[in-house]
Amino acid sequence: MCLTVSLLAQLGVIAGKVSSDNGEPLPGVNILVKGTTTGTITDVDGKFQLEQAPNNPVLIFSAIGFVTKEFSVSGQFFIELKMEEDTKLLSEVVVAALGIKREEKSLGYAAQTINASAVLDAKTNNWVSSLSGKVAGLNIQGVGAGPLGSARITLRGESSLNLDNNQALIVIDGIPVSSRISGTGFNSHLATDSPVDYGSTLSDLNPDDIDKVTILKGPGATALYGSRAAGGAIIITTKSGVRKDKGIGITFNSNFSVEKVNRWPDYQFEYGEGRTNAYYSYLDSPDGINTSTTVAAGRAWGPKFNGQQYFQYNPNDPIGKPTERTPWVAYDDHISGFFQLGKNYSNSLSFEGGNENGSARLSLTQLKNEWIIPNTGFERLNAALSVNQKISPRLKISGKANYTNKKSDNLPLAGYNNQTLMYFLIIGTTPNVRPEWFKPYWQDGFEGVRQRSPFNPGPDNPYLGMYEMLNKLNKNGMIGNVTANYEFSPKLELQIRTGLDMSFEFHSQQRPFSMTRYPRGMYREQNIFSLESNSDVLLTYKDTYASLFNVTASIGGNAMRQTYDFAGLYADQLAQPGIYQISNSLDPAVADPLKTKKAINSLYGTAQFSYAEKIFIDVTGRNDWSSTLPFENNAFFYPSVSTSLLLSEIFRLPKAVTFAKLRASWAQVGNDTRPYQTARYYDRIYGNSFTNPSQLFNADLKPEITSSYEFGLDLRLFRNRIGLDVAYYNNESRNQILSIPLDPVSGFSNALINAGLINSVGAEVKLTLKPIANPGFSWTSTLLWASNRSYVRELAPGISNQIIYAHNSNVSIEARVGGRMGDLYGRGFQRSPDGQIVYSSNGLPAPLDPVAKLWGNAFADWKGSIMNEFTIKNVRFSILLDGQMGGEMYSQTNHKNNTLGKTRVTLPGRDGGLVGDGVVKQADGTYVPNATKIAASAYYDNYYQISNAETNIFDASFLKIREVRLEFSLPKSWLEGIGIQKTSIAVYGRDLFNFTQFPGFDPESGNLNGSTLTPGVELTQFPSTRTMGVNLTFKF
Amino acid sequence: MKFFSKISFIFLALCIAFSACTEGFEDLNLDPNRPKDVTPGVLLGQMQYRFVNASMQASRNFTHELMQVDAPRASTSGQGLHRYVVNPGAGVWTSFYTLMRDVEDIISISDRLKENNYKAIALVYKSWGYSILTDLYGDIPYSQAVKAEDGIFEASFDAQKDIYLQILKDLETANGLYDDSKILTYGGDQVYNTNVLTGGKNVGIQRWQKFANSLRLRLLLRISKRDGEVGASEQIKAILADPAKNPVFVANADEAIFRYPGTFPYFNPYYNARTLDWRDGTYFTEFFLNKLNADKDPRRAVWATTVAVNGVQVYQGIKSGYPTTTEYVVGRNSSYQDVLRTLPQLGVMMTYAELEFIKAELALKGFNTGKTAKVHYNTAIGASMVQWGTTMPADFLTQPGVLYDEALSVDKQLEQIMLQKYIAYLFVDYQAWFEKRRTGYPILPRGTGIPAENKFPSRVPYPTYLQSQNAANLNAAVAKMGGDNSNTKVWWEQ
Repeated sequence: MCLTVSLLAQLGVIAGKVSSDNGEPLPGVNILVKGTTTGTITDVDGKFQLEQAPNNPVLIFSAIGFVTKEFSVSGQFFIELKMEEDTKLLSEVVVAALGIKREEKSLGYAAQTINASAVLDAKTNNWVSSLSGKVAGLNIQGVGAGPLGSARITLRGESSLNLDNNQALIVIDGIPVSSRISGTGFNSHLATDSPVDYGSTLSDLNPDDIDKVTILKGPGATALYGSRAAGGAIIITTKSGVRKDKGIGITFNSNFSVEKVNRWPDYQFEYGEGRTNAYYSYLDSPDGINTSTTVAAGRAWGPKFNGQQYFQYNPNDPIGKPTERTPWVAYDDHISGFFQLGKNYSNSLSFEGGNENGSARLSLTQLKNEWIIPNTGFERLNAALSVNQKISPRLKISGKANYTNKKSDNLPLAGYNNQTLMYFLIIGTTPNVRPEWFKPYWQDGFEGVRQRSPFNPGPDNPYLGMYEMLNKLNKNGMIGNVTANYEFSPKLELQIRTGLDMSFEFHSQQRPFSMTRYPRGMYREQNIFSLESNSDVLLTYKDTYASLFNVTASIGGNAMRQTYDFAGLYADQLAQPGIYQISNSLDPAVADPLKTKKAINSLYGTAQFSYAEKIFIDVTGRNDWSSTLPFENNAFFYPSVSTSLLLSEIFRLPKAVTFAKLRASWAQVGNDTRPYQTARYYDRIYGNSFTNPSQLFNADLKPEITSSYEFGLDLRLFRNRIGLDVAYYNNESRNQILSIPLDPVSGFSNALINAGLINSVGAEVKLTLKPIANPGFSWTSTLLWASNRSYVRELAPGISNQIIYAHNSNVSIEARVGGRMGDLYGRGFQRSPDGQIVYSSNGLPAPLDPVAKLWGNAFADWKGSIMNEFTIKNVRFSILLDGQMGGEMYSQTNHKNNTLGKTRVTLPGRDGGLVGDGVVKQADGTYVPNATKIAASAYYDNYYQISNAETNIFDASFLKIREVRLEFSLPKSWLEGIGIQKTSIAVYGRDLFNFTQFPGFDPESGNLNGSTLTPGVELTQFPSTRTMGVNLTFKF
Repeated sequence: MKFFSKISFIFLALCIAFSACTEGFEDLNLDPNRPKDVTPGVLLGQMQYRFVNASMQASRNFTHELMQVDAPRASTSGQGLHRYVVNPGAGVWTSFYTLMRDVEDIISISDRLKENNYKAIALVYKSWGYSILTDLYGDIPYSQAVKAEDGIFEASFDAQKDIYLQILKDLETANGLYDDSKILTYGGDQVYNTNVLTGGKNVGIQRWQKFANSLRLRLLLRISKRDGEVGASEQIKAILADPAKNPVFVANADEAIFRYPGTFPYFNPYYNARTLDWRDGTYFTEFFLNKLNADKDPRRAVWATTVAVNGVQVYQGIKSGYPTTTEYVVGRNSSYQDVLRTLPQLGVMMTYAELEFIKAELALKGFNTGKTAKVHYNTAIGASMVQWGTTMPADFLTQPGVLYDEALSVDKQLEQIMLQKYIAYLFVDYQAWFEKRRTGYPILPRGTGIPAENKFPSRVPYPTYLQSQNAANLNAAVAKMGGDNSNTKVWWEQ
């Protein structure tokens, strides 16, 4: 026996058995010989045998749910080892409201933490969009308005009838920051000017500085934010310095990506310009009169591309006059040729380090974006400093400062309007027209004064738009805080903190002479100063009684002050062309000042009780005094209570259950209002005159109150190989501050009232699977699913319908009692009793049924995503699929493209006309089938008319390949000796493919209405893009 | 327990500190951007401007197409006013009701300040505005309108008859309120010069009074079919009998026109109109231009562009109510002159010409206007020529087609008056259509592309938003009127 044993040892074979604390054998434990790739795995009885081991190796034992253990073999040939359960996994720390750090297991509400890698792995222009598909219940909805990619961020649906109120509160290092967009004030449909997406403070944050993002989904989690918490909160913690035992603490990250349109409407390339297919003629020609440069232009109902020849645009002639017939062909790039490959460069350098008394981190990042539309893009510079220091055993001070400079020489004009590219692409060009024919955009001899419109004179020349209608931005922003913590005793601690979000933004818009909307040019500029400061104090007491009961109690207060100072100066006609200064105004320049101030003072308290680390109960209360509410009645109290029960500790559960927690919470939170809503004021108009405001004030305004309860179960099975987290919630938002639309007959077009009840009900599921977890190969799969329904239970007394947004009278988002938030209403065809489309005797669909009907809902039935991550030695691969089922959207792009014959759906019936499928009402009231043949152009022009919501609202379900990433870390052995700690190179793709029936570019869209991001109605969005990039990281 | 007493002490201290902090909150919530109180002077001018912008654009966009002054170049969808398809709510509903808020404010602020001139001016706007609204739609919210501050968000509809009676009463009240011995205290009037006294009298205020009474005549004539119910004839007689008490327009200088100054900010609303919208999509009709051509009417040069046909510059129109297959080529027919986009006199509320046409009709119907119908008719045409800045050719009134033939039947004489009145109504809100509904004149040709089921409209269906915002009252009004479509006849037309 002895001999055998020593023989085994000599041969380098080591055997053993691994068991858990309580003696149960552990299968699937990985065993690795340190410094080699040699290893094995335990069998079902926890036994293993390692062959060809070196002499007295150090073995590393690892398993999910257990603390990794190193064991130095000193001559043994049989090892018995007990592994400790990893309680750290269950005591993960979460940043909760007010920045209080909490153990995850103690929370009675849903909170999900996302690590930095989620926002760094596949970088995009606005880091916020990289959260898509990573949090159940989080909805990130872009509006397709430009390179800054502003998006609506909502959690758990729409609790307020005011779309702006539904956005989540954004808190960076404990300081609420603005997600407000200072727009140009114009909406997206044929306003005098068009909106520009200038981005927000949130989008300015540098993703390289983000340490983690905690999503507090519901009121239970955010009750301590009181009157600002109804939409949930996103708590962002930026990186702090970390002590470095190895290396010098420098990280360099370089990212380069390209961006391309990922999906196009279904354009047709078979028919060219014209209203009839008889012939084509550029200017008058022997073939006939002009069909191409007048308002008849822009339609693609012209002749088929059959190899024939026509007199066409002559690029060699100053006015394009043709001298000979040229082949009639379609140009594949007639639309795509206006776009370019977008490019993003980002370089980031950070320094960090520290010792037991403090640490510091400094980072610098530069980002440059050249967008898919020529001459648009932006640059951003971020500098972030984080320091903390223990200056005495009891006193610790820390500070964070994030400085941003964001600059753009031109951001594109969004929406449907004469001066936007997307309008031009629909109305201004046809398949027989080449993009470069528009390139000289001034008429010869009229540079700077008269634009050249070689084709349809309706839209502005797109290159005039890109190179002369510039929208500039220069923003300097600072977010920061200083904090002092004093420890009176191990039980009592005081924190005092003050922080601010301050920015100074300069915007300008310049428009050249001869553009359609401003024939004499225009120049506007806005200086926007925005400041929010928060000063708070928090006193925390912790104690343990009888070593079973734990109490943590905090009380504190906060003083919030907001200042918004907008100064617009408008020169809407210029004295001289090409000079973009206010002094060049032809008329007296108009000043448009807007100053607002708001203050909230708050007191709050929170107490957490726990019993034996098994049962946790939290109680919070906050009282807010808000300056925007009527002075006599400006105080409101927001309570919450929540509990967490660790079922796996309280009960004996089956062995498979590693951890089980039941959570429940109830909370009341608020949503207050904007300043100056409680008294009557007159609005300034035409410089020095006044008129009644369109909104009726309310002297008795109250904050909105959302009451919510939530249940959740967190279950981890088979030592965390399977994790399941489910949540159910029910929110009731009362006292909605509604700007109810009034019948203008009443003298006001809307009134501010407290009324209504919105009930949001939803469920969220997160399933985490770790099918393979070997050191050399691991596979993690995360499935997210969330569904929300926000029902309109009540509106103001006597009001059964509230229009949330209306695109003229074409389509509207309406809240109707009994309906859901986001319901889309509009008109449709007249139908016969048996449901057929009613036609007029002229063969066209009869005038639309005047009664608006429900055609869909702007919000998805459910959203889901699947993330798969594989790590194979030094290679990490991940793929994220993200999608939604249901949800509808009105598409202006579809309407206009179809009425102008630009898409393949308008091909049937082109040759010889068509007979619409439907019936004609006879004088006696009976119906006969429609038999009148009409031209395709007339038919589709009517069928897809702008006010026909029935034919222009589409299912917005989609499946996107959201992220694909492949990362390779150079083995450490290669790097030793050259001072590099870690090097990784990654290639990634974002929004690679978009599978959907939606006929526009992207079903995840909407429109920019002033500064409100509006879902459900797409008004010629910019194309959605596919990003592909490469990322390099070096750590020294 | 020591711990809890500590906590509560701190809490109390904080409470005191914080309640002190709310002290500044009341002032903090005072809007630094907008005033709480205004004088009628700063309300009046912008209101006058916005009213005529709405009414003038309505004439261009609605009346001209329906009344065959112009027609779109192409109309493939099979719809359009020129085919008698009237979209619900088309018209000045929202813009007028919104402005009524300022009108009511001027009335109430003037009452408080004892400024009767402002009040009387506001009453004229109120009467003018509501008369247009009720003529468009029939029964409309009136007595309960513009009362959101009193909590009335859903106004009931008043019968057209009751509205007319109150409008006429208001105008009579206004007539009695004018005080021509003082200038308009806070200024702001952009229609007449009411800021100076000439020989101790405020001529501008006198003109407001003339407008009030001229408007009374327009409205009394409009409801003359219902004479028996409302005593229109008696009121007309009373006005005509006492011109000192009830002065009306006597010269072009009196007419109620918001003359666009052409300077910022009170531009003609078409000042920056795109060529595409202004004249490339719409052309004058054959019906309208052929009449002007036949008469060699000098006003056509102000209104219409010429086009070259066989090398000759001519005024040429297109058809109205044509089939969907018809399409007119851009720029080959006469359209609106660019100069109209900056012409000051486009902002018409009521012209002297109209008043003379009214008198012509009254004389024809036996009222004592002091002159014959023919004299009024001729004066009216001359007044319209002056209004548009043209000179009437010497033989204009004596040429066939214009010459007033007193030998014709009363109805045929009326037809003569109404045809010239129609021409003179260019750019005057919806009056040409209202008068066509009242008298049947002028007789418009029916285009071949108008589906047989389409009838010449008698009203505009109510805006569709009312279905959701004021359904109960809407339904009651619709039931009373006998249907909400463009064929329902309003009270005065029944």
